[in-house]
Amino acid sequence: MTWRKRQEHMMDEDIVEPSEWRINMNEFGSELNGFLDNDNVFEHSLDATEVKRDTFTRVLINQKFSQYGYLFSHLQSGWTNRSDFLVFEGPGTKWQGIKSFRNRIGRKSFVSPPTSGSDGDFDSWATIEEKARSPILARKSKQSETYSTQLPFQTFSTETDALVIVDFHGTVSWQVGTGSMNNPDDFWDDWHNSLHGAGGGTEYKYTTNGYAFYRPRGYYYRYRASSVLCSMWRLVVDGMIVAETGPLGSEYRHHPIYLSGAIPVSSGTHRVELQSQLVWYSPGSDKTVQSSAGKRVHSYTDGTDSYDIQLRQDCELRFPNLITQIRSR
Amino acid sequence: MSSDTSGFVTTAGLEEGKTISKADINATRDSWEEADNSISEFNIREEGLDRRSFDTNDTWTDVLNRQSRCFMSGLRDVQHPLASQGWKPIRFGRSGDTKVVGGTSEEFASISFDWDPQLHTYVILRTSFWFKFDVGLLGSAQRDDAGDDNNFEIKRADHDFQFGILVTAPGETIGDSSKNVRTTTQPNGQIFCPVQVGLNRTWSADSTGTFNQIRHKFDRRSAIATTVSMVVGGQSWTTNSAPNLENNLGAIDLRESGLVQARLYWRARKDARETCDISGSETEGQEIKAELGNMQFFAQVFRR
Repeated sequence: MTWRKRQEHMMDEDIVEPSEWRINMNEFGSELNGFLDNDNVFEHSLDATEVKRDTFTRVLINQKFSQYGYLFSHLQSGWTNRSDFLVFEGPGTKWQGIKSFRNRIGRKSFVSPPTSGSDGDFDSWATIEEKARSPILARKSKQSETYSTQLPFQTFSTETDALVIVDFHGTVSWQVGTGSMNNPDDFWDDWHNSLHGAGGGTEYKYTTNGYAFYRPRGYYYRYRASSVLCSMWRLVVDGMIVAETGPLGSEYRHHPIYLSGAIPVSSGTHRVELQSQLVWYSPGSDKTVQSSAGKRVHSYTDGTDSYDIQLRQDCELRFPNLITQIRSR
Repeated sequence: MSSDTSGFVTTAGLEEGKTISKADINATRDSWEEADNSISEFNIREEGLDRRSFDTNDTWTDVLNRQSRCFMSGLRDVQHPLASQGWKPIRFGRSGDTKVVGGTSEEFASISFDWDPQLHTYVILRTSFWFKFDVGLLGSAQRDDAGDDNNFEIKRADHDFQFGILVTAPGETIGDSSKNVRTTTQPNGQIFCPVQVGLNRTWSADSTGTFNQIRHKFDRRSAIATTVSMVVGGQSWTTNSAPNLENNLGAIDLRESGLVQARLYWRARKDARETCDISGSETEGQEIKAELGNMQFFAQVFRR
């Protein structure tokens, strides 16, 4: 037994005093009312159906995040748990992600009026998530009541100390050819030029094709100073990093990522979340700088026209799946 | 935590200086008798039980049989599906050659397990395998030719592949399943959270572009080579983490009992399988196959 029963002896021919009876009864009662333990239970007498669910293991299965794409518009700095845009994923996006909807974004949702105007004329940007046919559901700078750009996360409470095990997988898709959604003007120009060609007062603002590789001009050994646009991902539990990738370049336009980590936690409320950052990584110097740092411009001529184009690509996380196990006892 | 204390006992009317009544004695007896049928977790001290109390380790461990896990060591060449074929099961093994060990098939990464929602609470399916497709073997020349874009872009661009875990509802067969990715517009799709791999055109077909070119143009021998790892989960009851199992997209709905089957699927973006046109190559004229192997695929079940 958990607690030794108090020795209140009653002998034959004693006159029983009520306290002796009450104290003994209370001892038995308190044992039964919440203090039974393995000494009161036969060995091998309990099976799974007699144990409450989640007693040993609880699994939090990401459900609502998997159906969305999370788009980073590339000018974000540092680790973040929010993408710039939350976008629709469906059969139409199956091979390219949000790029499949580029025309729809350009034509219907992104720019109005479509052909000219100052920055102030692009107020329609504010109503993107209200457009029924828009593939953009939310954006970081204007949160929607229905949708959030927050990257996959789980929050939960544990009543006891526990071991938290986190699994995550997803696909990283560089939106080559999309232009950058940092700025409506530039997106419009790039979209328009991809259809009609540059010139006539418009020019490409961002790379619309190829590999995001930059090598500065005039540098003695340009390849040592060259850099590649990369994404980085990590899993964080209560602010502590349990798994982290290195810089993953855009040599693969689409590639899977898988992260898994474990950490002990004490009783209380906890948070598991995915974080990301985009960086320029220099293989020559093994250094990274934020993707928003510097202005990596490629100058080129096409016939008699000369152009400056910024090397930027947006990046989308697609079909993410976050599963958290909470092992206790 | 709820507060169902119907299994608690009371002692009525025992106070010094007061008369014990029949009703108090009967109430005390009734309370102790009723406890026989309503003992619950609230009668047991938190942390008061240890492993000796449980029938077997099955309560908390992975209890499935060998059909719930399979693997294949080694690598083999496999024809990838045509784009028009959509999702197809991945044929890792082959009769008379390397076979898949465990699971329900010697050819496919295919597993099954009996599911009882009263007994089982969660399942996690995990897989990991090697995949390689040598894009560089396609095209009409081994090295870059800046003046001949067409040779390369047609055959080497956009060789994207997707992989997914197909899971049937309990009691269904794989043939009954909708071989689509489960999305908001295809809520009955049985392929959960697929992953995709494919090279940037610069590394596969288009190093001749004006932008971003790498000075020492590579010889277009780039290959897709990666480990593919995926994880999906299911559960037998509605919880805060998966509140809407009727319309779930990332969680497998396992509220019914029956045999659950799972299999690895893939699909390719290119319409046609490509042959190697590189003159003098050992593989000239041959169809370029994908290399697959070193596969693990298993289900992990949690009862409580």
